[in-house]
This record gives sequence, structure tokens and C-alpha cells, in this order.
Amino acid sequence: MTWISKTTTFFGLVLLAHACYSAQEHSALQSFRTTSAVNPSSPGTTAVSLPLDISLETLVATAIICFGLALGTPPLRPIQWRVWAGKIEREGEEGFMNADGEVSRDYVGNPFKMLETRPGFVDIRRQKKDFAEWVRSSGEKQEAQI
Amino acid sequence: MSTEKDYQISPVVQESIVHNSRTLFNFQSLTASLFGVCAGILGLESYTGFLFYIISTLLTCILFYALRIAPSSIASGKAPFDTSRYFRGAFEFWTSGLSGGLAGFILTWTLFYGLVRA
Amino acid sequence: MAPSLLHPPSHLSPAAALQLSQQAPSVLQSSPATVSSAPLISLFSTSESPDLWLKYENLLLSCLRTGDEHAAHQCLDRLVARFGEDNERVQALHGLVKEADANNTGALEIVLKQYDAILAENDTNIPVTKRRIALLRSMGRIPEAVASLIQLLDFSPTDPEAWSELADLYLSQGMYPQAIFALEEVLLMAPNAWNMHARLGEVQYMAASATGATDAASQKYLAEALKRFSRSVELCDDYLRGYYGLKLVTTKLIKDPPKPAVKATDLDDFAVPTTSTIEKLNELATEKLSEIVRRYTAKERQWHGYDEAEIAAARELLSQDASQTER
Repeated sequence: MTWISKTTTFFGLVLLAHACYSAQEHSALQSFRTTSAVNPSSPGTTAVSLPLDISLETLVATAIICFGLALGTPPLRPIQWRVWAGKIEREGEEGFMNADGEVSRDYVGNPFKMLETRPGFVDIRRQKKDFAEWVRSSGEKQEAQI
Repeated sequence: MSTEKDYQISPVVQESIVHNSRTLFNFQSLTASLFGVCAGILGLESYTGFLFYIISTLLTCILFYALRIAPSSIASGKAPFDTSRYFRGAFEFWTSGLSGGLAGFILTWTLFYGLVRA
Repeated sequence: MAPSLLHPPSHLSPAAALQLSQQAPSVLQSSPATVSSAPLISLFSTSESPDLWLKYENLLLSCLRTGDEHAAHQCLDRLVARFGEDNERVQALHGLVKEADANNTGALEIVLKQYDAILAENDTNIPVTKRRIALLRSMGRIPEAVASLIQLLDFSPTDPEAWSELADLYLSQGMYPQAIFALEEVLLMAPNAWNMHARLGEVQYMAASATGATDAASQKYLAEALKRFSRSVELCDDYLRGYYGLKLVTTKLIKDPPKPAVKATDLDDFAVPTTSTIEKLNELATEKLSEIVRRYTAKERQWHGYDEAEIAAARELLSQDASQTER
């Protein structure tokens, strides 16, 4: 997703830079013409408006950049508690990816999970034992498969 | 029923509100500066420039709505142009960009006007 | 995808813990062994972030679990080098490593003595107090653990984690009313915690089905449990655990409906709703559960977050229900 947004924005910026340069050249040419004109008594002609193609290019470039930037914004999050909580339960961390496909840094999952897991009271000896048992049982399973 | 009681029953997630408004604000300040560049190149002056700003800001709001809000909001059964899934006030969503990006707009507008027409 | 190292790992499955602890060498290598706090040097070295220390702490826990003591000690050394021996959290982690290293009761007694010594110096050291309670519980000395936990709660009554541990301790002893009280305290501090609402509902359901509960008491517990589960699904759309509990409770209430003699005596009591409401709730729970199971099994997008075991349990409950209606 993110490369689409980046390339679109970049393309738009190139277009805008080109339009800007063209407009600058155009106005420089205009002022040069008026100063070196045969008839310098008509200063009213300096206010010649921008050619249509440059104006169009500017507008199109702006629209393209806007589109690219909008694609690159991170997804929004629901503000109603139940919708937001449901999203956490249903999608897990998948629902909170940013545009780059990484889980956002401030995602914590269910913020009340620690009330049930209670990291301050962790019983490390039981966890260690459980893990050893898990290793043993999965080893047996593998052997059985072979 | 009082609104206080409503909030007790179905609370609102503060972090999400902050996240969403920050996202919207970043997007709108970027685009506001961009519109300044555009207005400067086009050589808009006085009221036309501000009119351009107001119209383009509203258009970006619609673009943002269409890309980021509409897909999930309409899927969850909300009416079109209803932003209540992600923002608390609809008015706040549609108009917050106007005041937030104005300074950036004027800055780049004058800068590019000067650059192009020097 | 490996779980993030920024969150406490104690609830992860063994496989995930193994995966985390296998990251240990790379994490330890990628960051410098010591971070100097001298201002000049810190200008030139990589900046330290709070995340790094959180990572070390969680890595330490995972490594202890998987028995990778070498990496665990390395993590601990770095934390000690940064925060010093006297930091409360480091003291608790230090004790944790010693607990994991201890292989007989004698060694555990020594660790317990050390905790006591630390607490004798400074009895407001909450992390070490918590470790001491956890160790007492792990050694099977439940009454002592409960006593010191109550002491801790007298000292800091706004710690939801401690209240929740107390509830779990009481529950393991079968003391339901006390466990329910402790969980209610947790909910006072975290009124929107949907998982704690479901937990309280589960405990009340257990209390209602426990042997020795009188009819009236069991009725009251069931009504309370119904209320709690309803609140948990109100706070969280598609909450599998909440709907599971709701279905269990309503099925039970439908099977033996409340005696009319049971009346709400005081205002705080919650009367059992009418039978038709209960039936509606039951239908809703069945519908939601089967939707969740169906969409999870079909691997639909945005429905991957559930736990495999919980889905299996829900499927079993649904199939039981189906076979009953057939009969």
C-alpha cells in the first residue's frame, strides 16, 4: 500500500515542480517582452494570465499529491468503546497495522490483559516446568510422526 | 437520559480520538501548504485565493472521507457522510482543517507568488 | 510473526515463548553491552530508549521460561549496570532469576529470606513484595501469601493487579464470596475492562454451580453472572468469551427457572429478568457464537484474532446445544 502512495506523491511533486518552473519562465519571458517591446507605452499587457496548460498542470499535480497523501495516512481507529474493543478481540494486532504493514508502536492489544496475566506476580518455576513439559510432549509427538 | 449516563454506558476511547484527530490534522496541514504552492503558481490574489483555499480544503475532507472513513463506516451500517465512527463531531471533522492549515497556506502562497512573479 | 518484545510475555504459549527467547542473541548483540549515562559519551553513542529496557525485561522473562539461563543473566547484568543493584524493579528481577535457578526447597527458602531482608530495610518496595507473595504461593504456602497480599492492599488499595491476584488466590481455595469481592474491587478501578467483567461472571457462575450453595444463593449468583456477561458483551462487540458465558448462564436459567419465592430483598440486588428476556439472550448468544465460529473457520479477513482453543470450546458448546434440541 505504501509504495502506491509514495510513487503517486512523488509523481505529483515532479509535475508540480515542472509547472512551477514553467510558470516562472513564462512570467520572466513576459516581463522581458514588455521591457524590450517596440512600444513601451502600453504597460497594461504585463498582466497576461498564465497559459491554460500550465494552470491545468498545476491543478492536476495538486490533486495527485493530495490523493497520494490521503492514501498514505494511517488507518483510523474506532472511538466507541465496544467497536474498538471488538476490533481488538476479532482482529488482534492485524487490525492495527500502519500503512507499512507493521503493527503500530502504540498498539497494546487488550490493555486490561495484564489484570489477568499479572506480570508482577509471575510464577516462574511453574512456567519453567510447563515449558519443559511442552518440549517433552511435542518431542514425543514428532517421534510418533516419524 | 443525560449524556453523562450515556458515556458511562457506552464509553469513548480517548486514545483513538487523539490518534484520529492527529492523523487528520497532519494530513490537512500538509495539504494546506500544498494548496498554498498551487495558489502561488496560479497567481491568485486576495479573495480568489481564500476562496480557492476554502473549496480545496472541503474537497480534501471529502477525499479523506471517501478513502479512509467510508469503507468501514458504511460497511458497519452507518449513513453516508456520517463520521461518528471515527470522530466525535461531524462539524469538527468538516471544518477543523480551515483554521488549522490557514497559516501554512498563506506562508507558501506568498512565498511561491513571490518566487514565480519575481 | 513473532510477538512483540514490548509487552510482558507471561500469557504467551510455549511456542511463542521459545520464539522470543531465540531472538535473545540477536537482541543482545544489536545493542551495546553498557550504556553510559555520561553526557559527552551519550552524544556519540546510539541513544538509549525506554523500549530497550522493557525489551531486556521481557526477554529475561522468556529466557528464564525456556531455560536459557546464560541469556537471562546477560539481560539482568545489563539492567543492573544501568539502574544499579538498589532499583526496586531490578531487585525483583534479580530475585526472579534466583527463583528460577533454585532447584530445591532449601534454595527457595534462601531466596525468601533475601526478600525478607530487603523488605525489612524498606517495606514500601512493591515489586519485591509482589515477588515474595508469588514465591509463597508457588511454594504452596497459600495462607501466608493471602495474609501478605492483604497487607500489601492495605498499603496500596488502588492496585488492580494485586486485587486480581487476591481474587485468583481465593478462587484457588474455593472461597467464592471473597474472590467475587476482590474482583468487584478490580472493576471499581477499571470499570471498562471487558475481560474482567467476563471473569467475574465466570467466578459467579462457578459459585452458583459449586456444591453446597443453597438454592437462593445459587439463584443470586446466576443473576449476577448474567448481568456481568451482558455487560462484557456490551463493552466489546463479538467478544467470544462473553457470549460463551452468556450462553452457559441462560441455558442453566432456562433449564431450572428461578423460583418465584426468590425476591429482590434490597435495592442492590439484581432480580432475574423474565423468562422471555432470558430466552432472547440465549438466542442472541447462540447466533453470535455460531457466527464467530463460522467466520473464524472460513478464515475470513479481520476475524483472525481469536484463540484457537476458545473457538474449539465454543464449537463444542454449540454442538451440545444442537444435540439437545434434536432430542
